[in-house]
Amino acid sequence: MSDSKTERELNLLFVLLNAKRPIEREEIRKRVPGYFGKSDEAFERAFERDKKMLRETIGAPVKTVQLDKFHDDVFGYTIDQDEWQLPELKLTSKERALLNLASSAWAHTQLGPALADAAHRLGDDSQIQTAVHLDLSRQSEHLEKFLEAQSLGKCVEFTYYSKNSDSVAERLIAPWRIFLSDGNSYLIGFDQQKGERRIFKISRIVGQVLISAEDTIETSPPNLEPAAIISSWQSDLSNLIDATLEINKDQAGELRLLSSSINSGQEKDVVELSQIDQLKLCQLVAKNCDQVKVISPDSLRFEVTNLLAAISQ
Amino acid sequence: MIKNSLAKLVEVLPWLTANPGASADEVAKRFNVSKTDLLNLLQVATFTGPGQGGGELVDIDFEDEESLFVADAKGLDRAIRFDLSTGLEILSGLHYLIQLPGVVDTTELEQFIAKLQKAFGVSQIPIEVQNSESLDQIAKNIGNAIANGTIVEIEYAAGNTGRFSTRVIEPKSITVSENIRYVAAYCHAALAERTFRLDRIKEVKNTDRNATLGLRAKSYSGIEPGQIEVTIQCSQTSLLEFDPRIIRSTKNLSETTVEAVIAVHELEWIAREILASGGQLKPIAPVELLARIKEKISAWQSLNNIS
Repeated sequence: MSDSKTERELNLLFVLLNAKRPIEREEIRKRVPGYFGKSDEAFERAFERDKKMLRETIGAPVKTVQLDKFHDDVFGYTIDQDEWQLPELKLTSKERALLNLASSAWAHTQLGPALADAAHRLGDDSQIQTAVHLDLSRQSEHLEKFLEAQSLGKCVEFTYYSKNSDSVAERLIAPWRIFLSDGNSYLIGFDQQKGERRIFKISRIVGQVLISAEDTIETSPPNLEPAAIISSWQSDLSNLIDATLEINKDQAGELRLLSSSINSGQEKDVVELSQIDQLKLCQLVAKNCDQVKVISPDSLRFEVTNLLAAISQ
Repeated sequence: MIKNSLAKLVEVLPWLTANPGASADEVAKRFNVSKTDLLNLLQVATFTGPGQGGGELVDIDFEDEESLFVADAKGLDRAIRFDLSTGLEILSGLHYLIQLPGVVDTTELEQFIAKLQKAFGVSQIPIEVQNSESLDQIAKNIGNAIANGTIVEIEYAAGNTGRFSTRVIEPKSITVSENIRYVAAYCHAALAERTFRLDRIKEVKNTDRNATLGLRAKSYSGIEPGQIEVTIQCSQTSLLEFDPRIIRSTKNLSETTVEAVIAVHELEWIAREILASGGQLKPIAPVELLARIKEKISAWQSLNNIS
């Protein structure tokens, strides 16, 4: 590209960007030096080409406005600065560090380019912080597809494994919200086939998530409360119980992590557990069955014995 | 020669405006152009402006190449907007870090996100994070130890054996893999670098001792296959619960049942998984695995007086 062409395009950009009102062609012709001395035909060709260049190459929204309501062939041109550019953003050094941290953490993932672009445009990505190592490379699974579908107003399609029914099925979902809670991530969305809100554990999605051609028919309600939805969903699925266990010294760490109190003995400790999901507790006791004596409730001992017996059936 | 000079100028001018005094070398490197091309490009910009009568041109001071200043970019002083999808990705990527107190100052992060959200014109971020207070406190304590370079004592439940013990560690970094937080640290008991899951730490006790070993932090790269091969039978769907990286081979026994060979580090780990599965996983081989499971079930029966 020649300097004179760049200069002409840049001049056109500046003229349109700084105009306080839409400018007519003839005025543009006078103010952009690159159009001087061109025949009418050559000017028209160059002007059309340059407008296209501004729109397509740098995304500048060059707008055509009818200037005279009595004559439909009198147009003015302008670029809406606020539509095209971000407002003035002065980032503090801490904000730049956060952007750099996010950029390095998401590197090599589908979100990587967007964060790198942000750090490049807004921050100072020459000084990526290295004191903290964050690798989110396995975090972003499906996330980019959910975000893209949402910004397009489209649904996502995926195969989902339901643990309750121990089966897999195809789903067509309008993605509403991703909810992260202590090691688990959930998708809350609208099931287009069932016509109701549904919750999915993202780790149970089998294979790829695809963006569907189907438009979202139900968008996220503005007052959606994901924490309350997930909590109520989990309590529907769980039965909370209290238990007292006798556990060999320094053993069954998973149960000790959940304990409300530990009464230490010489060789064994008495561990109290309060309001723990019964199924989870059964599984943890079974996992540590050679180290645990159930003191109460009897039903827990019975359930664990059944769970263990099922292995040899 | 720059392929698209106009696009490059639109990138460079806002950045130069926000970073006054940058050297030509630094800017050229940052925007991946040669220094000569950069200076030519900026020269072109200084010939242009909304009016050609003087006084309305782009004003760049680069007499000294060691420090460039844009006095007036004539409207090209603001970065170009991101499209909606990219804006959502940026905000979501930042929002994800809220689950990492101890690594970031979450209050500051939330304020920054709100600032960007307003600038991007995005009314709602489609990601929400809820952390457990106790886990956050553990992460904060570990984060402080990393920042201050101190040694901590942790009460830790090992995942493979269930053993609960106190470890003295020098935390080096916090890593997240598949939504689970880990701390990479030098372990004084093992005399080597180890990775600990934060949700398996019951308590962190700070010591005033400084970390001395200063080993390079290593990130946790997730599960890796072990050397011991075990064979199990399970449903196709139960197999989804295993990380695919440790599944060596599978053989379909029926439409729903599969026999899988899994590469594990320790028989104890898979034995415990089988015991917790309630019959979903059936051990097939090796015989040592079957014997270990039988032994554990016998111990349960004896401890709990079950005939």
